[in-house]
Amino acid sequence: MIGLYSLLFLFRDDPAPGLRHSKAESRRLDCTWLDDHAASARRPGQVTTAPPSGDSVERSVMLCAERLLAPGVRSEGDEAVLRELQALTNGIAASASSRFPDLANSTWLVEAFHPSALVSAKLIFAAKNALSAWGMAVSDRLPTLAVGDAGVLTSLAPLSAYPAACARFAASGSLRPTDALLTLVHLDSRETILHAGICVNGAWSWLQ
Amino acid sequence: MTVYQPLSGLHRPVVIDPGVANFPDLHLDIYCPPGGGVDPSAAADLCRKLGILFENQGAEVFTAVQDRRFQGADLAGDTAVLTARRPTTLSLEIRTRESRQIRYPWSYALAYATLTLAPATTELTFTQDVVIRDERGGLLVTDTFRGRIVRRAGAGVWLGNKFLDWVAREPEEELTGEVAAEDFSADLYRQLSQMVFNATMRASVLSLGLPEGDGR
Repeated sequence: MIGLYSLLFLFRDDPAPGLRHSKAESRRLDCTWLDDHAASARRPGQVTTAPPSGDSVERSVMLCAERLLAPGVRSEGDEAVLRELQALTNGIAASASSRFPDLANSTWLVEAFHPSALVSAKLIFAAKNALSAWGMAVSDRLPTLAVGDAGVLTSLAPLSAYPAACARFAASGSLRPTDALLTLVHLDSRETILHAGICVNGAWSWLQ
Repeated sequence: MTVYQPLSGLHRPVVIDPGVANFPDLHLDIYCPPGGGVDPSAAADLCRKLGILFENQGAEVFTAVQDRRFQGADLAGDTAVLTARRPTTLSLEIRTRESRQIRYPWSYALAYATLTLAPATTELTFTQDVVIRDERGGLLVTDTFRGRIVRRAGAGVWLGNKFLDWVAREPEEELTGEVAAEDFSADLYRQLSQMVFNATMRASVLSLGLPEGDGR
């Protein structure tokens, strides 16, 4: 009995670093403790639950999920944003919806400014999905600036440039009165969050 | 032998380098309330270490085990400095609690029966709730970190891992000694540094506590 138990105890699949897992392997996992019924619902057939009549055993299960991409495939900055992409964009869409309820019938345009064009594209796609999920109409159209405007705006500090660009979008007719422009911005290479602003009728507001 | 495993949040990607002066213009109040299995001295010790972390990054730091806005000056730091301090820009509150502690009684029996060749095992899962606010109390950034500490006591596990550390494991993969505490501290310091940086950026964008002349 002791021998069997020792085998079970020593060779159970514990994700903590040790004989079976290196620290690097362990750090690739996101884990959480669940009770046996919740764990069984998440991983049907893999978790033995207590019988309906109950027993004297208190069961708990650690469920782990591995990172989709191995470390080093993406830069840490890109990984930090993309790993939380759905939560980030859902939060922004929820904030936009609650802060600007009168824009529910507007057509939403989305643009993103991130050092990586690939990440920007993913941000735009995710944000449009999130806005759609909140019942808002989205468009693939983007407002444009005249060459002279762009030259002036790119010389401004970022926190000044976005409101100025917003005013120019409205003045030039590039952004229609029925449009709302959601802009996602990554301002500093050292941050792992996104900022968001909304441009409506030439008025700019930072959401977060 | 003690092993640390980050469960969630603590091993998230971090961009910022805590070894450079990231916060030259920041005034940071740090609160480390005791409770949830953390006694006041441990909370004060955590606050002291976090104070050093952010002072080394250029911030002006004040530490307390309770938020002064609610509890008066129950300080773990220097009360004399508090009265002379400049206005706070951000406040960071970190609440640590033990989520679950498990002892494996069979492992103790087994360790006894095998003269500690098999390890006696206990483990602790902890949760840290971190909230960063601006000077008016507005919420800027919040996050929750979860980690796990597994203690395996016994001659067999210690000798085996010590041997593996010597002959097989790379230095960053070693498990014996003070490695668990060092790994946890490194994770926590990196995450908190990143959170504070994100909070300063958000405060700047929202014009809450912008440094003078920084686009406001």
